[in-house]
Amino acid sequence: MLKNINRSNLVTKGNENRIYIFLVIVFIVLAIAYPDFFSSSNIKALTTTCLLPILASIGFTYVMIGGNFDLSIGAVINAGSVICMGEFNRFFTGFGGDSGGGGALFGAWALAFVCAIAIGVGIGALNGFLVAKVKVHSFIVTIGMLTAVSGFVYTYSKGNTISVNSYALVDVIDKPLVSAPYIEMITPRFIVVVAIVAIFELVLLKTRWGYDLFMVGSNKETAFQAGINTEKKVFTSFMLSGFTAALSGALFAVSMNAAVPNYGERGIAPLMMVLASTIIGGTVMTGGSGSVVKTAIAVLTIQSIFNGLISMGMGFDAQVLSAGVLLGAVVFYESFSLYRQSLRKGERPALLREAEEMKHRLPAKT
Amino acid sequence: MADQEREAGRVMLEMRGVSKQFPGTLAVDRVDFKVKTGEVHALMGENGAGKSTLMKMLAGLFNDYTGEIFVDGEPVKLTSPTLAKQAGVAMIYQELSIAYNRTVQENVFAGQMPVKGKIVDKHALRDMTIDVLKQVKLDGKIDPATPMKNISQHESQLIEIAKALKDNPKILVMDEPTSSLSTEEVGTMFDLIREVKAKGYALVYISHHLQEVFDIADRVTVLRDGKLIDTCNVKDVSKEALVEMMVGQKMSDFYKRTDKAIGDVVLDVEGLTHYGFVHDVSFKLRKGEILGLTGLAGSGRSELGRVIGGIDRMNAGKCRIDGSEVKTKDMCNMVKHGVAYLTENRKTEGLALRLSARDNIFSAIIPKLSKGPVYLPKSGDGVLNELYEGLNIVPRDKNLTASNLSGGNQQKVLLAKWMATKPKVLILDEPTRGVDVGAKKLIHETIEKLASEGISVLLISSDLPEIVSLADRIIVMKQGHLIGELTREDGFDESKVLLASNGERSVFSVEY
Repeated sequence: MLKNINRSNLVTKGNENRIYIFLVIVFIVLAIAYPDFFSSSNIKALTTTCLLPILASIGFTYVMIGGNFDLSIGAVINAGSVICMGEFNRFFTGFGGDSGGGGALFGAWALAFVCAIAIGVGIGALNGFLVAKVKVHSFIVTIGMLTAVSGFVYTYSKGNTISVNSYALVDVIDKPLVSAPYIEMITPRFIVVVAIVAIFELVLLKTRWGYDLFMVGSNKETAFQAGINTEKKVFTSFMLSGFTAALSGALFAVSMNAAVPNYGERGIAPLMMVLASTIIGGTVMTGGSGSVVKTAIAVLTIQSIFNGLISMGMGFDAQVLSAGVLLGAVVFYESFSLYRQSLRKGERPALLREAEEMKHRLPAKT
Repeated sequence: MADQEREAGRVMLEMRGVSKQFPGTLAVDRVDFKVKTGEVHALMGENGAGKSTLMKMLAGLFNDYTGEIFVDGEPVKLTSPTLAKQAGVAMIYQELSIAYNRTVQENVFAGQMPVKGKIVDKHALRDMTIDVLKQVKLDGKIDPATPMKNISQHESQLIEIAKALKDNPKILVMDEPTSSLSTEEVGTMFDLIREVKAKGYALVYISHHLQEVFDIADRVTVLRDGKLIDTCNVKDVSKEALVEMMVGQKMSDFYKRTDKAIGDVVLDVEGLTHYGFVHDVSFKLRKGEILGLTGLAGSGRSELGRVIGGIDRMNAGKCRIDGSEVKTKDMCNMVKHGVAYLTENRKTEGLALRLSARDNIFSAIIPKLSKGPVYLPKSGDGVLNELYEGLNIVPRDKNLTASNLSGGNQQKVLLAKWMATKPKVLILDEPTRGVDVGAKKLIHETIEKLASEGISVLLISSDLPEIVSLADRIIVMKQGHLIGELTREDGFDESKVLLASNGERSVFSVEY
């Protein structure tokens, strides 16, 4: 304990930026173990798999910074995808189908996206209301919402895969801007995700709104006393989480040309991926600290590990295990340092110095 | 604020006949209280005298107080924290309201980030923070971008003051701002307070420390049992007179003490150290003895109890029971050796509030009530009935959920839980905090009875009448050190104990 009297800023800084260190380590190991890792086609594949969890994790990170959890995103992603597909089919038929031409296509897609996003934001608003106003613990609210929304998704899709016959949109959003090696992963979908990450990160780090959200998550009482509307901040963070989750689902469905009501039930669920990435990326579980970009980097890191494991011929079991071990280690470290911090509450530095002196003068007592 | 408003000697705060009723008690009873600009006005009184209630009233935490409050001659209603802030009252609480994982500058300007367009202006924020820190002489010492968790307690306290001063308040209220500080740090704090005072702020200073009041305050108001006793100039009163005012009529005669046989040493603690909290403490506790342990808030008295009870770590030192050394590494082991620690936090650490009284009482003796792996709670019914009768726990329904019991009966259940372990050494940390008079009397009688049965009691208490009437001997802690001892032979009363806790060495029978 004595050694930790002056815990250096370097350790704090290192821990804050641990995700960059992880990423570099993972890249180095993979570059050695799996030379094809850095091939253009692999990078494209890797990036594409990251897009859904990165987009969904943005709002999730916001909610966690505010001191809450949004576990409903697993279901909201599916809601976003089935509604986008289903509503497109409905509107497209309504607008006259193929005979409606480009206008019908554009209108149907636009309305489908609006519907998907509206559902996501609506669910987020309901979550936010129950957490911020009714003061139910976010865990309970959003787990309940997860189940309810899953039920809705099954009812809406009647348990079936909903597919669309038009390839017009997917041809646009997944087409590389330049078909050259190493930049072929830059598609409109990629740009949209990167842009949203950038906007949300800027809002978080540069605006008064972001600073206030950090303060709410860090110490609600202080924030309240400082005149910050804490309830509104929490409410908005849930709405944004619903927005990013639904949008990520919709974009994913478009690029698959189909939506299933149970995506992620087999394999690693997007919710688990997002949860693990947000925590590994350095967002404090009790709120008040975190970053959207770091969460995105954490998604990339974990997906890289998966990518490497698959290429080494290892299956799904190894992926789940590695993600679990990494998450477990980080959560353990976080909890342990919180515990250590609580032990030192009310400590007298003068007595520590005295104890230090005593140790120098006397042979160690046990 | 204009200069003439800061002119010394104007009445800045006036409370006229303010009262606050809690269920069962009148916590503040028609108190008049005036604070002038350019003065430090100390508010003193024992635990439960009404200091905190009066202060919370100023902070706007009650909306149902009666009486009138004037700030700078204007009548104000302080019924919400926002209104109190608007009226110009700034509070610095004992428990600092810090967002630990944010930086200094973000804490200071929480909710008031300077912006350029939509973007937070970090340079302005930094410069403004440095300006604010100048007021408490921390500019140049602390980088505004340091995370708050890397800032020491002392500096956090100064930052809190700076934060309060930033809003240019009329009245600054400080609640025990020095309880966790070392002597030097108190010095720095006082220099700062004097400077703030010279600028014409009206300061209210709440403290238990007599010496501090004499060092820093101009006037002092004493409360007792919710009533105003007197307000006087500090230079006109002596320490003894002030203690007399706080303590009031000697209550000690009220309790009947029985002389009892005190036997051999049971607990022998030598050089006990818990880094940062308790330093090099040695004492002996004999069979059948009630040893009082007291000290001011932050003196380490509870921490000492927790170390011996096996909850906190003993970094150095020895602990012997009946002459053989024991490891205090965990509570289970200590209970096995016959040491039981009753916590001061009944609701958070002591009881499982959702379990029945029976389950709570049995919780420490489950192995004793078991045959092999099978738990047989029925076998404890005899013990349970005995405890219920002895402590007169009401209602008698043992299956009642602990949260449905009154505070006094909850405390009795907690005491029963540890009595059930049949301890040799019972460490009681504030055993009568927040209980009614009847329960208090019964707990006191029980403590006496346990001692006469040969149990050694370490009674940690800040309740002066309690410790004076029960203890055979009193040891006193200050800032983590054991500083002295008062013995029954030399006699002690509340005033003496209060002076001793304040580090007044002349009153000790034995000085360490």
